[in-house]
Formats: sequence, structure tokens, C-alpha cells
Amino acid sequence: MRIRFDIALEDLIAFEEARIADSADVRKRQNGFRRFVTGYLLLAPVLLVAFSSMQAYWLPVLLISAALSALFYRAYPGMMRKRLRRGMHMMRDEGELGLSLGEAEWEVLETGLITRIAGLETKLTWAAIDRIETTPDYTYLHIDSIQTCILPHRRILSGDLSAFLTELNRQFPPRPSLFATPTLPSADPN
Amino acid sequence: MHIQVQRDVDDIVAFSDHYLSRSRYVKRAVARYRLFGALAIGGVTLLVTFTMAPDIALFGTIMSLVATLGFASQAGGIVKRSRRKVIRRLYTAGKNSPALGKMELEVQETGVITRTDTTETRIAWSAIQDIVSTQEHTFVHLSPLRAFIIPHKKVVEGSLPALLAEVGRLYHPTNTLPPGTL
Repeated sequence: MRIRFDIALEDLIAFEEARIADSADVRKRQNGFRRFVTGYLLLAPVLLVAFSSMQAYWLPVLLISAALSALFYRAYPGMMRKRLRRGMHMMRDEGELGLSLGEAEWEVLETGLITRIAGLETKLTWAAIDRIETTPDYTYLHIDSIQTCILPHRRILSGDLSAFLTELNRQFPPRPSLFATPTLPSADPN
Repeated sequence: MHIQVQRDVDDIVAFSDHYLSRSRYVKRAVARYRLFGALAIGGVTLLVTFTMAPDIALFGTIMSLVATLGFASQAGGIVKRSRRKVIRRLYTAGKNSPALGKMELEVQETGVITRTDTTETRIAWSAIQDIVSTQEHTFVHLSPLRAFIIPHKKVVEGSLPALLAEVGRLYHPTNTLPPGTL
């Protein structure tokens, strides 16, 4: 069963945003930076004034610092989103996203999945795929911690999406869960 | 004509360094980081000196200059080292990636075929953007961000120079994949 679709820059941006939101590591780094700059904006001017000849102005400086740091803390997530979008647009303009954008096709087989995009055809056995994740807007095929294939649900060019996803989930072999409760042999009273 | 190579995380790190040294996007981002970082460090040092210790202003100015130049000269290295760390963590923590381990590259009239234990990829000549060789690696670029990595010292079967000569002979930038699937 095949499905043909289009991948736009917006889809890659949405994926990167989801990846950042999902990554504890990136979140930790961003939150650390956010707290550091907020604290710095709040304390540095006050300390500078306190140790200089302008000590009398400590209160207005404190109020301005507090306002600036609160503004930064609030605006930071939006700044990061804008930065990501700008970066992705720049990468597209520099031609760095070739073979990640444009028309693509997936084909489900019993043994795996074939992906096709502009002169590139890859057959992935099921063992090559780490996990498949489906959200209302996308299906992500995670190959490893870095490589992911994206199927945007709203850009289908041909094929039946729900039938395709059903087939994909039917064929993709379930993996044993790390958190599955083990079935212990029951004690035989005899 | 084919070769077989063995790849590990060091090869991915080498590709990342190669990408950082070529990408205009990264170069611009590093230049911004260098400029703003250096200005922030120099500015803060100067501000602290002139408000808190004006009697050692000359020493403070020299220290500020040293800190600014020091950061500016190290900014590229900081970005590179941080990226290397992330790559090593991602590739050692996750599942076995098709980007690691054994890979076979076969050159055909229509393009290149690569095979790993779990994947097989047909690449039309038209999809190959560039082939770049460094001292230790050859990178077959599909885009600046994506390449097949051939580590020269880890060719376990076949001859890389012979393969590259064959690529040079058969390469045709307009050739697309013929009909038919894997």
C-alpha cells in the first residue's frame, strides 16, 4: 500500500518544535539559560549601583531591572520559536534542506517500508525503525535519535491516509515494552 | 563495483565538523554568537571596572580586552565541542542506528546503492550534490546536511580509489532513478 504526500517547510518547523518540546535535555538547557539571564538582568544593575557612587538610585534601578527581567522571562519561549523559524528559513534558502522537502512517497510492505523522495529510494526493514508516532497532524517514523521521516496528514497527494496508517500499524511489529508487567508462573499448590 | 566500510560515532563526529566548516548558515550563526558573546563579556568587564574599581581602570580595560579577544577566538571551538558532545550522547544512548556499523556501497550505471544490515538505499546520480574528500573521509553529499560517510581507514572490502574512479566515469547529474522498486 502506497501514499504520496508533500513535505513543506512548515512541517519541518513543526517537527523541530515538537522535538524540542519532547527533549528533556534541550528543555533543561533552555530553562537554565532563561533563569540565568533573568537573574542576571534582575541583579547585575542593582549590584553595580549598590557598589558605585549612585547608591541613592538603587530603588528605581531595581524596579527597572525587575520589569526587564520579567519581560525577558515571559518573552523567551516566543523568542526561541522565532529563532527556530528564522533558522529553518535560512537553511532552506541556503539549500541545506534538500531531500527533506517536496513530494515524497511511502510504501508499506510485509518486510518493511520504502520511502521515496527526489531521486532517493530507501527500504527500511522493520528492524531499522525505532518507533512510529502518530499525532493528529503528523506521523513520525523515528529511525534513531537523529533521523526521522515525516508524513504530514494534511498534505496527502494520493492514497488513503487512514487505510495506510492502519496497514502501517498492522505491519510494524510490536516491541516488548520495558514497563510490561511480567507474568510470573503461578505457584502450583499440588 | 562495490566497497564495504565500517562506521562508528567518530565518523559521524567528523562529518559534523565537516558540515560546520562548510555551512554558510552555521558560519553566520557562529559569527553572531562570537560578536554578541564578545561584546557581552567585554562590556560587562568594562562596566564593572569603571563603576566598582575606577582606580584600576587601565588594568580592567586590558583584562576586558583579553576576555573579549579570548572569547572571540574560542567561539567556533566552543560550538564544535558542544555539537560533538551532543552527537556522541545521542548515538551512544539510542538504539543501533543504520548510520553506524557495516555499510556497502555499490556503483551502478543509474547511481549508487548503499546497504546496511537493516536498510537499502538507491541514490540516483541526480540526487548526489557533491563528493568531498578530506584526509580521513570521503563524504557523498545528498545535501549539505546529509551525506554517506566513507572512512578511508575503515574500508574492509574493495578499493575506494577504484570506486571513486568508477563514480567519475558514470556520474551524470541529470540521471534520475529508473522505474522499479527495491
